[in-house]
Amino acid sequence: MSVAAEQLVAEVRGVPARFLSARRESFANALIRNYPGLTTLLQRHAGDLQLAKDILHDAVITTLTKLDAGTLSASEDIAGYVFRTALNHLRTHRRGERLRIGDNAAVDELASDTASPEDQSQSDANTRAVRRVLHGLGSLRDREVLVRFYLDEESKQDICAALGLDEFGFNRVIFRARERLRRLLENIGMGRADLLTLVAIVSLLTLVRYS
Amino acid sequence: MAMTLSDTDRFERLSRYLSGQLNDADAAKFEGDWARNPGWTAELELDARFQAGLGELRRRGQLETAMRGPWWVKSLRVLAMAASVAGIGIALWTWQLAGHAGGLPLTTTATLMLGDSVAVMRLRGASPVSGVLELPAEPRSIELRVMPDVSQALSGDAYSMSLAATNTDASTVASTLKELAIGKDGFIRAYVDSRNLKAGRYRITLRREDSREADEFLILVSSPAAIPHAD
Repeated sequence: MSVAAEQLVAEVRGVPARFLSARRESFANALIRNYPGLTTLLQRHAGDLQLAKDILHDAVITTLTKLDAGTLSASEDIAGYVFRTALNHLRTHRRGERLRIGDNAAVDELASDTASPEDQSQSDANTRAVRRVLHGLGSLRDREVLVRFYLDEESKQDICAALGLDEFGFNRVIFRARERLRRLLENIGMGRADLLTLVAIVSLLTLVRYS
Repeated sequence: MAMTLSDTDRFERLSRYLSGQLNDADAAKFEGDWARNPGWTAELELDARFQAGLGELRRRGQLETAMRGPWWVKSLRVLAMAASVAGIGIALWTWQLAGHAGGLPLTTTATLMLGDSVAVMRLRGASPVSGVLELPAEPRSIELRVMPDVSQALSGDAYSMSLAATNTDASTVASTLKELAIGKDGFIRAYVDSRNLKAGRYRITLRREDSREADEFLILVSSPAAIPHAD
């Protein structure tokens, strides 16, 4: 367990559940640290860093409130619940605002100046891992599949048509790349262990709630 | 792990969900499917990290280079040429090491096209390694962003920085960059020519100029040739 997680655990130990909402900042930070991908996805689609943070914090409050009221079981996938809630809020917000992000490249220009040094280091490591996956692919076409699918968010059907692939070939490229990234991230300590850390935090929240 | 077609379908549905391309019924179904499959959170996180990494490469202007792939597998002819270049590079490296008494020249600005930027800091934990750098395939200026570890670092302090291979005697390091200031983000910046680096361990020594205290950071430099081939 990371030092940050241990600190969070120590902070919430013995705290009655009704006071846990006061820990929402710590809880949100733990989520951001352990799920940097989904957090970045949220920022990318919000198109605004502050809006993304606000939405995530709202989702954390909603989740803690439901946990506190007992309407959400702590045995559920809490991180998944928070992000589903956040993405739902974002979708609703965008529909209400009629906001459309048409230029993903521009969205990628969103500077990460506000990231902490540790978050920046984690982002650097993730970027290096992705570059290694790209380099490890056998052909330019396979690399193009990844960029079109993940970065440009083109549909599988469009990519297959443009690059002369069938669905099986497309899935094989994505599968191999994902498995390679998964192994690389686990090797540098950004994989399963981080997820388990959050599981430990959520387990503690459960313990506190029912104690 | 068995291949599942839903790996791609899942992320595609998430993308369509976020871009408003799913109607309410399909959006609700997506949320329900995710709720019923807790494992999706970790899988979507992996997909999202892929997207984040690619986005960061694009933001840094490095995506095009990464898309070209590793230069050393393009053809046997290129490989043969690369081996020759590597041999010359090793000879040059050896010559250069002897030339500047064990230290590597640092600069305050990039002298070549900018390559990787490495954040170097003392991480909370047991790892002695404070930063990792993968050598670029082509010559680049590498940005070193070093965070002082001394307890009373002030923004107005001046620092000196040196870089040397760990098997170099610290007392012989002559190439020290002086009068460096801490940036607004807390890092001190210096640049090194990637041609002066090879795979191995390096020591960055950071010293506040009015103090005898010095921070030492260990960084690992890896060769791009270490990257395994896909097939």
